[in-house]
Amino acid sequence: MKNNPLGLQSIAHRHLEQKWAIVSTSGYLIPPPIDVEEIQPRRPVWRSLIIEQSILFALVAGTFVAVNFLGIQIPANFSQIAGLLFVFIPVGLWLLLSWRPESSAPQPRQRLINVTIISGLAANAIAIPMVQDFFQVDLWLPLAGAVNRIIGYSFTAGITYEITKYLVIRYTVWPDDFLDRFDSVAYSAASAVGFSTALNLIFVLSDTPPLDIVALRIFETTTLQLATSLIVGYALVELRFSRPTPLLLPSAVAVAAFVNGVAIPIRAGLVNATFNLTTSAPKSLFGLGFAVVLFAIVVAVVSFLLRSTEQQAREATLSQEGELR
Amino acid sequence: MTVIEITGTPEERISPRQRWSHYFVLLFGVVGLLVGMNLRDSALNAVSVYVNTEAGIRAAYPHNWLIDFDPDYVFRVRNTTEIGFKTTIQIAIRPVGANTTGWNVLTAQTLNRAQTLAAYNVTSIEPYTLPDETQATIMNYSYVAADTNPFLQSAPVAVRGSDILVIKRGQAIIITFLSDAQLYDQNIRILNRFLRDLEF
Repeated sequence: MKNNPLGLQSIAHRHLEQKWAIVSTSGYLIPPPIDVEEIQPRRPVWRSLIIEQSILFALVAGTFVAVNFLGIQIPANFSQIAGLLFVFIPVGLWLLLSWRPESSAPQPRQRLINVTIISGLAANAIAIPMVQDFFQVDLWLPLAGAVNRIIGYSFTAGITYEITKYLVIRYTVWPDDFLDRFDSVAYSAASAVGFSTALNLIFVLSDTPPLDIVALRIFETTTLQLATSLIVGYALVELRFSRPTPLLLPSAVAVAAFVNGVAIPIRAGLVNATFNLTTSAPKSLFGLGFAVVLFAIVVAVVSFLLRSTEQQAREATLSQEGELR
Repeated sequence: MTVIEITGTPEERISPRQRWSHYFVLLFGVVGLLVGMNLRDSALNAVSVYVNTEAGIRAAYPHNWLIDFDPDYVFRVRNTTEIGFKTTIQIAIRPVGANTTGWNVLTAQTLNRAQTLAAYNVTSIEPYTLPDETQATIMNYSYVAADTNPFLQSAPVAVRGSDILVIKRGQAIIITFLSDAQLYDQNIRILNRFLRDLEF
């Protein structure tokens, strides 16, 4: 027992988090005089994700400007090697800015690299052969009308990609490694990076496209897979911590598949040259802009939903603790 | 700090609500893929019907293929969306005498083509049974096709072809199938489906 600065007789308890709380004799909690910074056990994920995509965007935009506006020519025999190197930039950035800092976090996410590798392998072994060889989308979807293309890509590539990524996360890290809400972002990003690397590798190895086209395609594929993974990841984490309707997760997979189904033909429609009697050229920057806008919208929505549900959960916990006291 | 002790196997820790949610995803995935398969089949197997009462032919050719007519043949359909050589199916009718055999007709075809097509070469002539059990003869051949427009600067393409010959009602019906040699095995299913629906 001792007197506090307010002159009240109080008891100071040492909190488990190394904080001091002063409790008055009447039982009301008085805020501590010194605001101790809360230690985050998990690495923050949004910042690194946005920095990675910003760097990737800068590299892609730089490559596009160098090739198309500065007239820098990449030798044909070096173009594919440069394309292959470019394919590994997203995963390299992710390793550098997301995976490596995990080791310095108080409570690192242990299985990020597992999710990335398994997603890449699953994409190469299951998803890509299924879309290209089984559904043969290149034979019939590019010729279909706009609505049919959206429906077709949603029910073929969209569902295949999203179910594959969902199964990887479900059977590697869910629910044991989902310890807070933002783990969904970290593991979804890990899965998307591995998955899109396989997609980009197939694109580069299937032909010898120019480097600026490779760069744009890599950015568009990576951001699209990130965006759709974040949608499914949100539903997975809600299922882990909240009590949502059992239809939330399938609905999220459906929305993610639909986003794939909409994005693939819209991007192609924006990028490809229009058919007219005068000369026309591909409008690659429209595709880049579309990818940026889509990614920004999904990140904003998922971030808002995660923060609001986290806030609601905290308030519910505080009110429960208050009732117990 | 709150310590949460987790016990039991992962499957035991999943609530019924969570389990049902995963079941619904798998169900949605299966249903979605079935819908995708249905869309693919209806697009790839979509056909347009051509009927020629004068020649007594009813055929279902792939949807979106370009049909054209010429005195040399009854009709010809081509996949104009294909890059490179356009896969082609053609039906021609030649009047034949009572003593004319399939061999005579095919030899005449060979002599004619050898003068017009580059590197024309017959690889086999053998009996063939159509899907409706009609006995026919098939002649397989290959040649090199070059674009007629030199300004397109395209490289010549090796083409594999098959002529299926049926002699019926005093006329020879020749069904010709032409495809890029590299895609022949992939495209032959189009011919098989065409023959399955062909009535003459």
